[in-house]
Amino acid sequence: MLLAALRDLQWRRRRFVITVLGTALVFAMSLLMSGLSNAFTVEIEQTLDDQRASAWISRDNVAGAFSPGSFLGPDDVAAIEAALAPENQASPLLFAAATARIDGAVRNVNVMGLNSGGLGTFTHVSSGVTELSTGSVIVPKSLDLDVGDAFDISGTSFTVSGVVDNASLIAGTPTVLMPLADAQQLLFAGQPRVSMMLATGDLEVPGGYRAFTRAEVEADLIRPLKNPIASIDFIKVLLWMVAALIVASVVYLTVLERTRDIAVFKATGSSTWSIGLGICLQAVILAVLASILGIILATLLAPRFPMEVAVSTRSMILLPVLAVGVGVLAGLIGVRRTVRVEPATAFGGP
Amino acid sequence: MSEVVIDNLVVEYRRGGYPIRPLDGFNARVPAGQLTVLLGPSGCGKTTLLSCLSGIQRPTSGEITVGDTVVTALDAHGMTAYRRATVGVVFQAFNLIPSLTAQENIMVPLRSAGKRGSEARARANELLEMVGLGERGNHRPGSLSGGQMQRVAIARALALDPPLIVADEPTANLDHVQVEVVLRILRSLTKRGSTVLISTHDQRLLPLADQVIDMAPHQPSGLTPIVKVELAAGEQLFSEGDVGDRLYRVESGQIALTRDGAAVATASPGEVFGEMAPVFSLTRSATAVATEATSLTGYTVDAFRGEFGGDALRQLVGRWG
Repeated sequence: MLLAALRDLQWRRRRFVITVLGTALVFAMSLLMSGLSNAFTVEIEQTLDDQRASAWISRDNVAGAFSPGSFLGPDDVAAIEAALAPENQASPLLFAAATARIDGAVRNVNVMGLNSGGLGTFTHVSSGVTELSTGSVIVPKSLDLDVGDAFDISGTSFTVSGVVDNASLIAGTPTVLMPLADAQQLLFAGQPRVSMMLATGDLEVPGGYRAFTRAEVEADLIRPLKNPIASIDFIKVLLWMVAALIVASVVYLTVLERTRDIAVFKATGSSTWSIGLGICLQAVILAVLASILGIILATLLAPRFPMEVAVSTRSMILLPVLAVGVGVLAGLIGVRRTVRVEPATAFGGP
Repeated sequence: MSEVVIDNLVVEYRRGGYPIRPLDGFNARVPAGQLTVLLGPSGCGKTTLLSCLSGIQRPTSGEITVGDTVVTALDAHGMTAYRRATVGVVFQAFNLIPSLTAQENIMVPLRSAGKRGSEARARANELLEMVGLGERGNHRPGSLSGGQMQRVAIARALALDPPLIVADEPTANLDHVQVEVVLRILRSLTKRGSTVLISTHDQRLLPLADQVIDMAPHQPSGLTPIVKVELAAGEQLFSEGDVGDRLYRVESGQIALTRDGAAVATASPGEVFGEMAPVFSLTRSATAVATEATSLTGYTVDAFRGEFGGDALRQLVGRWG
């Protein structure tokens, strides 16, 4: 029966190729959705890796160190620094949203103000220098700027001194690094405000302050994206259903067309389960081929996607496994029909 | 060697609310190792009988015994095993799987029976040689002639060397040259010890048979030529599929004729109905029910001809033409 199933795939190859292409496209869309969702987490992890901190210190009455509206003054910074042990490294960070104007186009950016050489600054760049100097910024490649280019951030002109491959937060919004003093001047008219203190090592913070862990900071940064992520997950479920329905409808139509063949199989002594197994095998082969093609398509399409897409290896491995499940499910719809075929249908004229 | 004994076989199903009985108390004995032809027109129950014999359809009542196996007593699993091991079926429409080659078609029952691929392939080639198609094993049915397809179908039926071969109208879709080859092969099967049962309405096959079972509905002899029938409202005179022995004239009341539950005609006083079945030895094509208290006169064909003349009968038969 398995041979008959494989031969039938060959026999109706045009139909099955079209089905595989259609399903592959749906699988590719599902993978891209996963990649999009995954990219939100990846950019956070990358940002926190670059910061090289183990604690993000802010007031203890705020939701998180990166939560908007949470700032520390010079007294706060002094109190925190006084409580740190000599082995603790610490640097202030000012983080806020701003807008940039590049070649006449307005782009949303995240501004990070840091002390050059301190925690949170880049240790390597793809071009330019890692040091932060007054009036200059380090930008990610996504802004399409080169070292030496000048552009405006919230009405103030800056010159690019370094370019890094990736630096973004909050759904791909580019992060721009500048000296802390420049950021304070730009965002707070020179008032010495910072968002948090980055620190390393085991530490104790004075009362009224809190050292957020990396997991807490990650949760803080992903919170604004919860709804988009839930929406993407919802679309993924719909896409899986579309894929299952494409395979199921083609397998079901094929079973309808093969009613007499199935009746002949039964009349010549094939058991219903072995015929059903052949139908399921067809559906699984279709789904698995579509998943492999889907992975290739997703890999080709991901760089052309307007947002950063980080398709994980886990998703790529999981896709064919889930595709087997889709195939079995789709095949069962065909099998249900197979069970009902009466072998007596084989009798009679053509 | 498997003798086939059919005892009081009844197949009944309902269609449109009325019972249809393609087989009603059918008895037959098919000697082992012989070729038996089931002869009869369309609708006389040949295919139904073959379906029951090949374990594809369960009769309503009665018993079929093939060799030592009481086929009618088998459960679903036993039926599948019986179909696989005891009976080989040759279908009117060949029923080869279009996506498989001739060789692979023959391999289907072999693989279902658990034979290894190489073993099944060798057996298929052997059978292809036997039916004279050794060179055509790699061809798909689409590139074979009707006769060649039927020979492959015979080879498939023989794959597991079943003691019983049933063939449903095996020559119906073949021209006369192809018929000759297929008949020679079917005839030769008895030499291998198989019991062969062929259903056909083709009289040319009769010389081939060791035994002929005539399944055409016959009018019972010794009928009273003219009878009076009184029916109450709703009472049934005959039903679709019955043997037709008389035609009827409505004296008073009304008869409704239905087919598959749908109204076909009504017969009012002075009108005659039910002539086709007795004239042409067919089964009833409709069901007759009295819509009110009705009096009828029933005639045998000869009695009607004697009463009203041959022209009246011919006009009656041709009235829809």
